[in-house]
Amino acid sequence: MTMFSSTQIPHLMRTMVAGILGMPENHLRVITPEVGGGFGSKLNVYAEEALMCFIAKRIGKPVKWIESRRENFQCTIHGRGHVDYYELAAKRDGTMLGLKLKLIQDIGAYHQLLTPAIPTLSVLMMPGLYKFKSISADIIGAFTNCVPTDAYRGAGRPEATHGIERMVDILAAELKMDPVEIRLKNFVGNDEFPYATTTGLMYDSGNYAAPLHKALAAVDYTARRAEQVQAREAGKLMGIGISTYGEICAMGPSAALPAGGWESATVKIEPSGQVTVMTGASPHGQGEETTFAQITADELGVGINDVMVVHGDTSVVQYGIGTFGSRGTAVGGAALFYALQELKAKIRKFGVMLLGSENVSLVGGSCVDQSTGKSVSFAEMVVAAHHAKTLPPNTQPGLVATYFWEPPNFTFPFGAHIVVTEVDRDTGGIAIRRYIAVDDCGKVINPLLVSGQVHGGVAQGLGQALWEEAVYDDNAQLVTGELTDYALPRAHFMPFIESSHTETPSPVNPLGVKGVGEAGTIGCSPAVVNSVVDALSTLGVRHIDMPLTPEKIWKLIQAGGHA
Amino acid sequence: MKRTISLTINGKPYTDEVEPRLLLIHYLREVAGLTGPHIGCETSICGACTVMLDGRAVKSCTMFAVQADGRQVLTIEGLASNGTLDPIQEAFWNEHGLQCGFCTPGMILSTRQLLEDHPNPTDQEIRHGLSGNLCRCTGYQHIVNAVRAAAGKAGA
Repeated sequence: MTMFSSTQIPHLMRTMVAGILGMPENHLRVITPEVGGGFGSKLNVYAEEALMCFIAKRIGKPVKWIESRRENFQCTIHGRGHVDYYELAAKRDGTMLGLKLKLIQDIGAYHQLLTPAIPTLSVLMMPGLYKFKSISADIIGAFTNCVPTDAYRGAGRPEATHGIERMVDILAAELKMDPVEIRLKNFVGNDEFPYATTTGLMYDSGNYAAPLHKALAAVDYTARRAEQVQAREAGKLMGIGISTYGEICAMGPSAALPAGGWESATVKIEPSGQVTVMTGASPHGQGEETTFAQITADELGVGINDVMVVHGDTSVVQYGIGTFGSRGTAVGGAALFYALQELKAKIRKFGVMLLGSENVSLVGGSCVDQSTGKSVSFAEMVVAAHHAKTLPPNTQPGLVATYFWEPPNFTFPFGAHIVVTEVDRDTGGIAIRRYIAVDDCGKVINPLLVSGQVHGGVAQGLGQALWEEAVYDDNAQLVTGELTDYALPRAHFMPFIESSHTETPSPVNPLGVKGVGEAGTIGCSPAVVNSVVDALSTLGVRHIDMPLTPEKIWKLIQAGGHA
Repeated sequence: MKRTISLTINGKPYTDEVEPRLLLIHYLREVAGLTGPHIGCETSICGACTVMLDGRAVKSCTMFAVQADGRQVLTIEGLASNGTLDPIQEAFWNEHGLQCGFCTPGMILSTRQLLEDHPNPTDQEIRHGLSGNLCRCTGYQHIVNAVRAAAGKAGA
């Protein structure tokens, strides 16, 4: 049986659907064509997916199932859905000591694949970038008559970051300290890595002040604060909001994921010298076809157009876990790197054989005899491996390598977002004057793709902060169940995002990458809310729950800051 | 009762018998076999189904196939010629104006309309011109860059 599914996890889909239907796993082929976005909602096996296979088997005919947008809203999964309570302990000088929190998670009506794992991830990441001595957390999962919640871009980390970054600002306001100063005072220091958090994680590497300083310089923080004083004198509501976020990526060691957290790659060098890469981390818009071709071209010294990246077909590609949790390059790319090292070692053997010298090294695809300067080309070694007229000792013909990489740890990207807003007193509308995003996702392989991930992430964070909401009526009917009613960001709603980076390599994988798919979403919402709260602080506003709709803000202004 | 319609799609003549209630998007995808225009919402909000009808961008989920009788339709499949991308397609590629690609056919045809109305658009004109097309991946910034680049090329 062949199943075409729009999924982030083709192999896990096959294992689970075969299991559900009681059919041999190797009789089911799952093909994941161009998927059309995922963001966590396609990191599930839905009842319909198994049901369609069951029906097709039963009637012996092809079956096609396309959900409507309304069904998609009602029958997949939603994100977030937290009601959180925080208590923060700190010294008068701004040193943060401890955090006590209660997270109430709207589970929805059913458990989906990762539902209870999401608030758990929130608690793990609750320290953010700061040195807490202790954290106490209660998680309450509340079953409701709503759509189940599960992984949505960030999956637990946006919730944690929103909470801690709001609390830091509230503390700064209470102590009349600058929100920059209080962050710098509490950051984990550069000399403290690897850093063991009180929640049991081991932060891999970091330079937390660097992106903050870069963002402050970009926005010209001192000038903006001076401008804010003038704006306030003129009766304007101008705000400057900061978030310095940390996240947990490269999901992740197998101990942390029920079905394993490794990833696989196969590299095949064809007789012509063209290279086929097969990744188990099946992407859906992240651009792994490009990044993985870059990694391969760099390692083998071949042209990028000679590399074809194949994914998303369980009959072609070796077993893999999938793409989620900012793991594509940080785990899948690392598996590819190691597969390439195996192939390079094998190619080198053919170089040694053809040059008749042990003193050789691979340079830009060729193999060069260090003593004589003689070299053999990539093409010559590839042909020798395939024609196999003579072979190096203990060496098989052909050039194929498969590597399954188990990561020793997660990676921990970080960054600083600064948002300048102006609130319209008369309408409650929020104008974003500046959006600065400085993200450190470790080594950047493709700057254009990375900035695309940041922009898209910020758009989703901004949607969450300002407009998007799953609204139910008193009978638990979803009233925002169509795009007519659910407020997605449009092109003219979005500010220009000033995106840049600092690069702190991760020691966890050989590429030094950390992952960037979720960074924008995680960094965004607290920066926006901190900015609007800062704008309204002259009215005595201390906190506003998302989304910051004009109606909510207008009512707050009308009530003189008292909700 | 079925009606016979004759129209030109991407320069080729088509004649088909269709139910009067058949939406143009369903005609294009299921009868004409052109799956470039996508169905994202069926409520005329997302713009993934955008095609050109007699040179103007329309949402093909919001009109009937019979309304296209005797008219010219251009879909994303009609842009590239002999494997050479249209300048707008090339600009989207070069500027990373797409990620998952689902909204892209609609974005590109809306861009075509936008550049006809504003050959040298400001960023604000670009953003307003694309306000009827939703994208969940890009945050629109690289799309705006792509439109600007395409405008530059068309003007050159």
